Amino acid sequence: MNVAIGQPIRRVEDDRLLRGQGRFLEDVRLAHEAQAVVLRSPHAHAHIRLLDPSAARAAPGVLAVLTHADLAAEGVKSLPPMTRDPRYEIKNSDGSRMPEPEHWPLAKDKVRHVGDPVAFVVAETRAQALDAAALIAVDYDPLPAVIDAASARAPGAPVLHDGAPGNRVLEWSVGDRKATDDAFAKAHRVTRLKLHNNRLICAYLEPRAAMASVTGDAITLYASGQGAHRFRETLSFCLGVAQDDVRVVMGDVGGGFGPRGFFQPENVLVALAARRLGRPVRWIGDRAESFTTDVQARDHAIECAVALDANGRFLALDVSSDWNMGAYVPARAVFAQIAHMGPVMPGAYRFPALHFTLRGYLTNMAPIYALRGIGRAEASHILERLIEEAAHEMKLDRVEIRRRNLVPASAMPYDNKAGSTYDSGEFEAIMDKALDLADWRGFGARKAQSRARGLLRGIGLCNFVENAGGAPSEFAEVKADPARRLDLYVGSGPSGQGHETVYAQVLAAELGLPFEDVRTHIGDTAIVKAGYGSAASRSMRKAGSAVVLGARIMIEKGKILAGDMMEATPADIEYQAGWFRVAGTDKSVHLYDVAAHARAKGEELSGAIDHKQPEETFPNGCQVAEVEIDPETGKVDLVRHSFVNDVGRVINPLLLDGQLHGGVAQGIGQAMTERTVYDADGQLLSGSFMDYCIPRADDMPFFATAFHEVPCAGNPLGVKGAGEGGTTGAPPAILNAIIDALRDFGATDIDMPAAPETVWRAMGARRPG
Amino acid sequence: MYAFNYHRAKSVDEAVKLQKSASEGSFLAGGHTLIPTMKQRLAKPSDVIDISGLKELQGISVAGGTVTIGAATRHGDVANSPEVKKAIPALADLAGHIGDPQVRNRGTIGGSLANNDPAADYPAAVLGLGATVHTNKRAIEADKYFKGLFETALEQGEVITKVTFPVAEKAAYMKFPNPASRYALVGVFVAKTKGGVRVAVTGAGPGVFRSADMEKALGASFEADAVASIKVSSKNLNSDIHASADYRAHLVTVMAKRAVAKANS
Amino acid sequence: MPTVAMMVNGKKVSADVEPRTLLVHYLRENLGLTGTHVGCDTSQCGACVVDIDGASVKSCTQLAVQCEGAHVTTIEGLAQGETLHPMQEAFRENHALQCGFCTPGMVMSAIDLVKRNKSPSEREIREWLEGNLCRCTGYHNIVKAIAAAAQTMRG
Repeated sequence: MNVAIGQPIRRVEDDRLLRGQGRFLEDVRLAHEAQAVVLRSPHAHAHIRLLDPSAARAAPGVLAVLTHADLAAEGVKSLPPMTRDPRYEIKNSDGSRMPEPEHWPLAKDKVRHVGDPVAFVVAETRAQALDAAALIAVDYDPLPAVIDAASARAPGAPVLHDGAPGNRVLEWSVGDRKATDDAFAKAHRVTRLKLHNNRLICAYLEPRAAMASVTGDAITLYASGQGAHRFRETLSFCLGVAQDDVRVVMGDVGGGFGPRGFFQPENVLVALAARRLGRPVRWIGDRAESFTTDVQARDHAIECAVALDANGRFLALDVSSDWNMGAYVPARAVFAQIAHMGPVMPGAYRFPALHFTLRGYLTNMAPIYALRGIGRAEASHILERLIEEAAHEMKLDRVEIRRRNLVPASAMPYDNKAGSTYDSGEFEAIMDKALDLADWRGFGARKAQSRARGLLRGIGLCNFVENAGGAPSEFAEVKADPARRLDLYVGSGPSGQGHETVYAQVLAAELGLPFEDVRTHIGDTAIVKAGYGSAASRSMRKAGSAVVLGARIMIEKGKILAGDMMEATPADIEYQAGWFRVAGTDKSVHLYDVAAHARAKGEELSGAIDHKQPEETFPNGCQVAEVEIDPETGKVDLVRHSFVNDVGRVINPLLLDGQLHGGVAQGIGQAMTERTVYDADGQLLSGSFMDYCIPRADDMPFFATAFHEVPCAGNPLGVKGAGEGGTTGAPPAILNAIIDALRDFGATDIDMPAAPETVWRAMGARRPG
Repeated sequence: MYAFNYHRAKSVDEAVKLQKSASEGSFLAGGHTLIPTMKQRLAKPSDVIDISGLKELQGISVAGGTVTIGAATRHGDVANSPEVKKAIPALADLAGHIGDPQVRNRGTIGGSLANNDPAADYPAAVLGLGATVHTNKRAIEADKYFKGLFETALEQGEVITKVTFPVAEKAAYMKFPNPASRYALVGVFVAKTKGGVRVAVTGAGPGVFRSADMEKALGASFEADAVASIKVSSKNLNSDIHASADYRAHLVTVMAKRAVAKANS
Repeated sequence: MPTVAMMVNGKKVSADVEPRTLLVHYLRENLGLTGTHVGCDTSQCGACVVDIDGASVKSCTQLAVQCEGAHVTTIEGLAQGETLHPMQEAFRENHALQCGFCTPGMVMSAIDLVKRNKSPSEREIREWLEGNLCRCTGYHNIVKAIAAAAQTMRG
């Protein structure tokens, strides 16, 4: 099949997944496996006074019980926060360096959140390991728990980590303080809001797991993650072994969304136990463990304000956020948060002045990490709620106030004063397209119909700009095999995005060869030479670009070889659709024959590149949500949701739509259903699907999506990134729709998630009943 | 799960005998309460006695103004039963909204009633219709069966065999589901029966209960407006991360009103 | 240990199992049928749905010993050689799966729906999927796929 960019190719991954032949971590079986369970802290904050595993070690079937003492004896290092790693370091505004709180795979002296690992029990069967774990004697001396940023920084608050006095990890800001203050001083109107961007639990459907086997010095880690090479680096660091001695294998991954990129403590534990026992060790977490010990997301207490002139033009934006970071600092978490929140704080709008401060504090909750839309979801929440209220206060049309302040296409490239230069973007055109798609004008009639049925109806919109990750390089290698196939090796780490399909599509389109010729190899450090992984909507832009560039390198090499074969100089050779041809002649040779020629010479027809592309791209879009609310119960139904997106050039519209749908659904979850609740003692109350509500099929309508392609000049594919726009834009659009429906009740804000009781209460005294 | 012995009983009598001889015997019908509890190691029966296949516990029949449902009858079978739909449509409707389709394909009425989860649906129908719970030993009126949070009148060695529901003149159930678990945050079953109007509330309190105020008001006028202004006290109602007691109290009124309207429609 | 015998995907199988063995673990560990997944501990996610005697059931809430004499169909038992079941094919054609972890349960559940309701409406499909969680797709393409498969299966 000949394929082109922009074609809705069906996925090559699907056949195996639909037949139940997927290779998720839990599906992998090794001979002589031992089974492990983790004993976890029931306390949010406590000193460990005594830890006695002797009874467990003597229990039937038990092979090993590891505690921190065993880690120390083997020289294992704490998981690195990477706050001082030169690749990711960001300094505090006062120039100081951020702390690097220790994060031991098994607690040393102290536990800091419910679920913190305390001991690792390995036995012949999982049931035996569970039985033995119950025999471990642990004497905890509980400490008061810190469960929000305000109490974390209060004088006299219990300190989680000695290295982080006052529980403070960071205080960082961007913008011009004085210019912002001056603008507020002369403003015609100032609109202020206090918002909470709610703590989320990712809840990918495949629970966490890890498995390792060791032969001699060679450690193989079977992991579920978003990039095998990053995990190899971290495991080799923690164990103090050479990267060459570590192989990381990732098969099918049951959802990533960011949190799967975190190198979990259990990866170290299975490797250590396997090395000690000389047999494979498998740990399969359950959903309850996922809830308490998966890295979580968001949790910002925000104060924000916008200053406007009499015409509703923005003069300045002032934002500060207290970030509840949980008990530890996962690798790159600070980098990811700052890099994706600060530089897009002004979004699609012009602000002559702005200032943003982010303060991060440690608390006795699960650690916070990147989740789909990180930083940008917070920024769009802030901006679009402020704009909505400013319009309301100034009695301006909600669309008009946005139109007056959008960055015009003519201003590109545009310096947004928060550290980003937008390369391209047609924000107003996109907003208009979204309003049409949503039939904004027809809303009045739909509202009347709802009213006739006793229901409230509201509509809301959100314009957003994201920055897609600029972090390190990505690797791709293309090899032409004389057996008429192309082997493609890529360093990204998919978890459902369809990389095997789209990279093959890109490569086949680039080379003009059949799609079926391509075999994509991903997720094994023994097979793929280098890589970073998937994060921040970067895979198509970075890895996809690397595929194109790797193919071009191979073609250049092929021209030399073909020149050899056809006795021509490489400069005279053209390549097209599988054929190297001497320009202006009928002399040609096929790529696969060139590959055979190379093979015969002991060479390989291949091209590899570790593609560096530090510039960020700026995917953007507009979402329009429409809700119906039952005024007697506060129950919100999302009845329409429309979304126009500029992801740059569209590679595969079928898969792209899937990314947008899934992203919107996660945004719906944040806006309407997902509430992470810890009590005052730091116990997680929303610790199962019975209590933590991820959206179901009947919680959402069909989505209306459309693309508005403004290709990005900064990469060979012209792509901007597609993974996160849905999640970034949906919550404020939904909130604005709910508030629109509740205006008659005097509502001016609503907390996320907008659960029925929250909405019912927001209606205040005027609610029915 | 802890280890246990498994028995497939051939009769109710044998099941009871097996339980008696076990140090801690649990009956297994649909398993949709027992198995999750055991998986979390919150229950540790020494013996599990499977009664799901017992013929004497199966089946639905309607005769003489009474709907009889065998204890091991699955929710889905009640929901789809033409006889139940005809005799007491509200009961079929309620059964059709318990859990999800897979739960309804396995869960049984007897299991639900023996467990008496405070947010379960069936207790509302049993209490609301004034049904009778039959066991291997006796017949227990609904009003005497439910004893609060996970407590029932069942004694050791007692197995629910069937439930008989008197056909009501009118009845309906309205549930406001917990968005996460889909159990009833509040569910209200109203029925106009020969013996008067009954209103049973599930999800709101520590166990299913009747609302005397609403029954009185509806006894005078079986119209939605009759209950619309009846405020339920939030005292003793549940308060959790999903809903406060005040909100639940409010929902009881709303669901009662809607149930009456549905019953009248 | 009791012996349990059942038909799985048309083949007679029998094994000695501990009573506490869940059907899903029996399928995965004893029979190597790893397409049926475990995604939660509270019988909610639906990744483990299989067909038992013509009804979709959560195999994580079912003991293997309860299935004595039963006919069990798992995701592995749907395709006829190279040819996917119409529901599988509709999922592929409509891009109704991303990570694929929930997919086997989703497909098994959807087949049960279409068996009972030959032309389900969008609303009926969404409500039927109450017991199947997906975190990737936003359900949009799943609902489309089920509707399309229903049409194919009606012929």
